Amino acid sequence: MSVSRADLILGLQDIFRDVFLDDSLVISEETSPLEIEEWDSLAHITLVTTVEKAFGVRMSADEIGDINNVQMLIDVIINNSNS
Amino acid sequence: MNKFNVNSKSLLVAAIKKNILLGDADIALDVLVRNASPSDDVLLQAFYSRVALKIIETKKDLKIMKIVFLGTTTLNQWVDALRFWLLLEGFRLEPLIIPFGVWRQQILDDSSELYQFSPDIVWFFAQPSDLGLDDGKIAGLEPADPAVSMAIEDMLGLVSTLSENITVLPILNNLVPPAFGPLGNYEGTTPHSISSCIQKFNLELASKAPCGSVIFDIAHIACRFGLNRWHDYRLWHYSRHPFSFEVNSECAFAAAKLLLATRGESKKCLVLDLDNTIWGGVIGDDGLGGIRIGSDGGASGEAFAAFQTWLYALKERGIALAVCSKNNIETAQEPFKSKAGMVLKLTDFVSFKANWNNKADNIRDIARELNIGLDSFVFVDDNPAERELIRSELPEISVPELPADPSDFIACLASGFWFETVHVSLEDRQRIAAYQQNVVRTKFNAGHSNLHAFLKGLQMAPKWGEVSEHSIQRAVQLINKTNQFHLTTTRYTESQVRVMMNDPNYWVGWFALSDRFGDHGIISVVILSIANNVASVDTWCMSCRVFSRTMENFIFARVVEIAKSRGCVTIVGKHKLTEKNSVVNTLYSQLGGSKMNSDSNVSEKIWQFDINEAFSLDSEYIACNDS
Repeated sequence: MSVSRADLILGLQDIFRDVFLDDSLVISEETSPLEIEEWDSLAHITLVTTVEKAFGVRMSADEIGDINNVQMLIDVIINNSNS
Repeated sequence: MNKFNVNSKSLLVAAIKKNILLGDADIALDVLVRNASPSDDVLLQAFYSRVALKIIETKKDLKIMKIVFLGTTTLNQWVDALRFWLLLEGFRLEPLIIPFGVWRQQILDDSSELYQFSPDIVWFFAQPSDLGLDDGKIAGLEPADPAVSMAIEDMLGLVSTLSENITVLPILNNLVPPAFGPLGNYEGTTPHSISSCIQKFNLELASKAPCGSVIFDIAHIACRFGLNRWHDYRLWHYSRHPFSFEVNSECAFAAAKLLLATRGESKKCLVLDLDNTIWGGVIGDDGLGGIRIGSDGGASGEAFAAFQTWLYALKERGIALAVCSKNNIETAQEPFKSKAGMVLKLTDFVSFKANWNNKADNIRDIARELNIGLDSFVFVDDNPAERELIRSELPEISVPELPADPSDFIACLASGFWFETVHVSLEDRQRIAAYQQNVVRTKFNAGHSNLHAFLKGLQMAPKWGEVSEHSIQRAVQLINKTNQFHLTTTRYTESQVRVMMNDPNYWVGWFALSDRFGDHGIISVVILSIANNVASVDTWCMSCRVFSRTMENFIFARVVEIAKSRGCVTIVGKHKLTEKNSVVNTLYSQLGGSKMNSDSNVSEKIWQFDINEAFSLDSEYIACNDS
């Protein structure tokens, strides 16, 4: 039973909307801090810890640092839930 | 449904967003004051922090607190949370977070950003690593005393330089030990381990910190969570966050309450209910022998005694204790005089209200007697309806949701951090006597609160019927256990009740009540004996949980209907006076009865009701639906 990347994006979109207080935000795998102005290093920590809680995963310090778009976030979620 | 109480957290978020969009920051703030908890999850806390910024933009009447934060860790999320909790207390936090690694320069240079900001408070958020106390050298077996004294000197030297340059309140964090010291168990044995050095530092800091500074005991807060849960080394290595996000808001909440204490805004008086709050059971019904307190009272008796001991310690350091109980004063005071296992004595209280008035009025009286504001009160009661009454009548009073198990009462009260103080003086310890004198001096008039709105808001729903095999055990229990609301003091066995149930000349009925807080179940039993067109109320008892809610009106209106349907023209009610049932002294006269015997000395009063006289006595608060 694997969750598709499309499903993950939908789940992540809800979290992005909450974290960035924007109910109309639409994200794709390419969405990055370049597009979302508020996605600074502090928001990044809030985002990552929220994602961890929502998906029941735990990321390493390096992974937290490496993520710089939605695609990498999804990769990390998938890698951590398989292990 | 009170518009400010929100049942689920997603509704909470929606309600706040809506009110902020509408530009109504006051309502949004009120919703938050009533619903936000430091234990809410990380996502909600992040939402609170963002909302706080929006509310602060529009609220002009906030008190200002300017704080400089010094440290080498990422404090932004913690300061955001602190801003939120201070906002709920009516403060606007104006923070200045000094960038990493320059705090010494900022203190030493009297033209620095720190001094230009002219703060009220400078908060030293030091980590062991800032003070040389996480070094490999003190990981082990070599004497590390110089490291501790150097760290103390370093810290206090900075505070002293600061105080020479500016008049501020310095707040100093003590240090949190690591979750996993390299020496394991031996950390606690050798004075040279990191853990021992940090403990020693904390003790020395407490004894040497200059007068007028305050220590934030973050080590204790960390221990409450458990060091393993406190530290998130991943966040530490990645972004220099000093602790896990899971504990961020709770730590900020504790800090906000400490800041209130520095402004003298901690709570001053704790108002306590008695039955099932400071002892187990109901003194009016169970009697001295039946209430549970101390070692004779089993596990819950022990728990109530521990709670009383904790309350006694609060009183000893200057928190006023008061009683507010629905009881007769003599009955309520009896355990304090003659029950073994009681820790608190009557003289420990500054005010003792045991009566049948509503509790909001009683608390207003206490505030007047002590001459302190209602916002200085915490109200503790096991009954959710009383708690809701106080919340709606006196919103400035803090009302904790008391848990069901008395073992958890202390944790519940402690988690509110209501009684924080920055020092305990001789004056604090003598304050209770001063309060007590105040009470003797003050004369007051009873106020009237909006009972109408409270009773309406309870959304009470009754049920009733004839006692059957399903309900007989509860009916018998009520008849035999109730002392207070029990007009004729009858006691019946199950078989006696069964005989009356099957006798057409009797009506044996039960009444149940639920409200929006829950179902009280069967709370009243009425037995009518019917002969010659007269219905006599043989038995009427009701549980004290539903006193003063007009349930008696509802019940009696049903009694009238039943008597009518059985062809009666008269109802006769007796009141057998006892020491414990004075709560019903005026019941039948309030219901419109005429007294048949006027001799005031008789121990049994008889009242008569003419059924054909129209009396409008039914409760307007209890909807008469299906039975």
